[in-house]
Amino acid sequence: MERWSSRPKRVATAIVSVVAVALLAGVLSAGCGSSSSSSSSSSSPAASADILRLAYTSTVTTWDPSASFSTEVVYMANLYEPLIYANAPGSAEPFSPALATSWEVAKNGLSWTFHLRQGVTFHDGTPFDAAAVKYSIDRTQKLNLGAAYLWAPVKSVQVVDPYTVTMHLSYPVALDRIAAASSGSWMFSPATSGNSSKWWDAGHEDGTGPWILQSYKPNQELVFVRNDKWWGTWSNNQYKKIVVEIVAEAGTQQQELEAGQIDYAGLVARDQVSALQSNPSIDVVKAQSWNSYLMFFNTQRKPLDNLKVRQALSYAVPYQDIITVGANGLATQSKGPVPVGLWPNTQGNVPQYSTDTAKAKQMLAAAGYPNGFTLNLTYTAENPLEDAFAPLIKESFAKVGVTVNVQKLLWNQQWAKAKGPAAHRQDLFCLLWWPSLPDGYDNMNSMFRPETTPAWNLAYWYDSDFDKLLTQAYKLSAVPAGLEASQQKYNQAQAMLVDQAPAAYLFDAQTVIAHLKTITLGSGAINPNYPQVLFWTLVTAK
Amino acid sequence: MTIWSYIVRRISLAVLVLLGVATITFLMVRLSPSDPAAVYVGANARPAQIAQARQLLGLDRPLYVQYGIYMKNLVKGDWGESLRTKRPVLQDIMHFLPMSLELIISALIVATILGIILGVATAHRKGKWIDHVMRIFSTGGVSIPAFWLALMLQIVFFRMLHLLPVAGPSDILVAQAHPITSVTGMPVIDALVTGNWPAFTDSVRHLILPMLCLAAYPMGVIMRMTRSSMLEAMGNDYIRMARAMGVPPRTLLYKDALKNAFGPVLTVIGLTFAYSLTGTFFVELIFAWPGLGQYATTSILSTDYPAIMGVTIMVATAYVLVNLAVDLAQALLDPRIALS
Repeated sequence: MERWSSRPKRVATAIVSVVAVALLAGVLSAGCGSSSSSSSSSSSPAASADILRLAYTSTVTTWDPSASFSTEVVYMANLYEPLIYANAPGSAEPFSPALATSWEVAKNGLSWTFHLRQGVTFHDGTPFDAAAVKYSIDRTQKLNLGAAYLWAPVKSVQVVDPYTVTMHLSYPVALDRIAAASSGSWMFSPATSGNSSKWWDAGHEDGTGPWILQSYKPNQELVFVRNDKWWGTWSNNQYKKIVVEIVAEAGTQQQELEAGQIDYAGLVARDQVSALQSNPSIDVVKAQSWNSYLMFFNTQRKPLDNLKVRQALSYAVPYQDIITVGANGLATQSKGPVPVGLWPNTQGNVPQYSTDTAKAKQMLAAAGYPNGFTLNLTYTAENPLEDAFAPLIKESFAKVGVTVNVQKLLWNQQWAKAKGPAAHRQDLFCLLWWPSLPDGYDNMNSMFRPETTPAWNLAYWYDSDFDKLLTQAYKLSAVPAGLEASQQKYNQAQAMLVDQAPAAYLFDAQTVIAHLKTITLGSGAINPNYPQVLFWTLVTAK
Repeated sequence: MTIWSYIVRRISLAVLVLLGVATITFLMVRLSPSDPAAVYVGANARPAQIAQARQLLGLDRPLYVQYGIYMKNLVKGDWGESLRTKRPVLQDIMHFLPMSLELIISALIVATILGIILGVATAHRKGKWIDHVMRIFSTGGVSIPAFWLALMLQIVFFRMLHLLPVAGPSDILVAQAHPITSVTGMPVIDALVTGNWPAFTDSVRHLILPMLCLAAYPMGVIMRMTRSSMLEAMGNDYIRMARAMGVPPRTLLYKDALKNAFGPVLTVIGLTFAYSLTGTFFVELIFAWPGLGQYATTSILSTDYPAIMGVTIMVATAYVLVNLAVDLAQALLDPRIALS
């Protein structure tokens, strides 16, 4: 009996034919595809004036506005609104009205009153009012997740009338900065009360923002539609729909942008900026950001417990090389841990070290280390800037006799090691930091305050004088009358951090994004006070 | 041994294998330095929140207790919850798997057809130029790293020739104008069965490059295995006899030689299918293909251990099932093979 009859052969032939025809159809249809986009590829239809196509790397950790404190901020900031917005540096006023139209602080700084915008509704139709503000803040405090700690000074939220709330504080703080924070400050509908976190994480939202979440495919795509009932004004050249593609690789985002498949790429490889700038269809935007890079010294371990050693190493850091190579020139050397331009380092009057290897070597010898020593440095594998500049630190420290063993770790592993048993911790910890609110106090408070268990003070540095100074400065900044005195205290605190050198302050990085010239980013679309966020209402079609 | 008792025996052994895989993976992931509670809470987490999450997730319990709970739940079908997506891991896997299957199955169909045809052709023309050229292709397909090949395909077909899209399963505007109704979760199949021709064409175009990238390795392996099996088969006396009796070359090759040479080829096809499940990782990352590979890569980079374990168990299960299917297919095709 013939096992291989003619039938299998006919089937195989048919399969081959179908595959070949499908491939051919695909290639032919690609060749016939529209080429009216402004880019070089012929494989995409023309850009739409109604749909804005974005590529982000940002995935969603949670949709719960009380708990959200991660990369999903890029979406949350367009779905929800705070009471006020912090304006970009250089603006006439530090804050703009959002869901509050005006606000004032009592003379003693212990209460803040917000007058709310009327005629606003949440996406579910529930009216926005003082009760909603109280509900949002109370719930965020109660859950104590995400950025809830920002509201710690608020003792109670009082509903004075339907459109007025007064927040009573345990101690004076600049509550306007907290109310304008990039996370944890959003107002959401009381009608969501009783819904579990699973309900939120299934892809629900209920803010007052100009955009509504239409669909959510985790790790893949998010679609937002315009909220036609938003209290703001819509114009004809604003988009009606936002489609976000999650694209993890910068190279892929760049290619999709060049092909006209997307309008905006949120992740740009810095070494590709020149190539993108030379593309006549693409605009590259380099904007100020509050991203700063620093390298903690483990002050609990010899020889880094010696101040002279830390100061010497601060002179050994190749600051300009790091900026040139690590940040491709798109950064400036830091002046302390607060980026220049952010309160209280608005004027950049904080001292800084310069690269001086001869001085560094001299200081090390004077400190009792003429022959140097060995240090372990850890940095985040996912961060290409750290990947680029870590070897430069190794090389520069070698010139002063310090051997650096560089260890590249995934962020979670790097952080776990730093928080783990003291004997296993690193000597040098490279970190990218951005503040949670438009206040450099967050930088100093989070990274240099005493901690019972290490979290962000990864220099393990404790100084009671600094502590007192910082607390005084913060409390003085609570009311306008105290700002000048607060600035002086902050100047002293920042100078102390530079002098005591618990960390080397490397650079303040610019944010870089790229977009097709068919879209325009309006003023305020990118605001350093809202890291990674693009405000979609301020993006218009040309 | 009957076929059913063979299947039962193999599945029983498979369960033991999977338990072993789950145990080893659990230990490797949990003992590596990372903080799952911090992953759960997200970046910028405060110590109190991490401590709260640690308690919520049961991470404050001894490791052997956590292992026991995990294995008990695994047996009940609860694969845990992803620390990143906050969804059940099994739900995530079922969501992303169809996209990967579409890629893998299409790649394997192409690899198998081309691999067998070229393998037979090179065996028939041993030592000729086609044999030498195909050797280069097959060696290249097997040895070129998938991520490099992916980038090269993007450069050639997208950047230089402007023929095919660079990444993603579909064009955003086409997808919005012609949304695909999900039936299987595979865009090409769903568009085809629902008659959505614009979306079908678009999905096929987006599938071509990642499919070619993924097909390179299995095609090389299948081609070489087919060639060597065919050479062995064609050296047999019955082939010489058939040739001497005037049997046409095509019949000789495809009916008489190939059917006997097909056994090892079938085994290799099965193994490359299972290999492709992990081979998609880099391919999906570079082509922004929202499949299991991208989910797994993101989980590994963020040390999302329940998701890492879930994907590992899924891949191990696929290996086991594919191997079983291959063995059964071989027994069905060749009565000389006894199941034991």
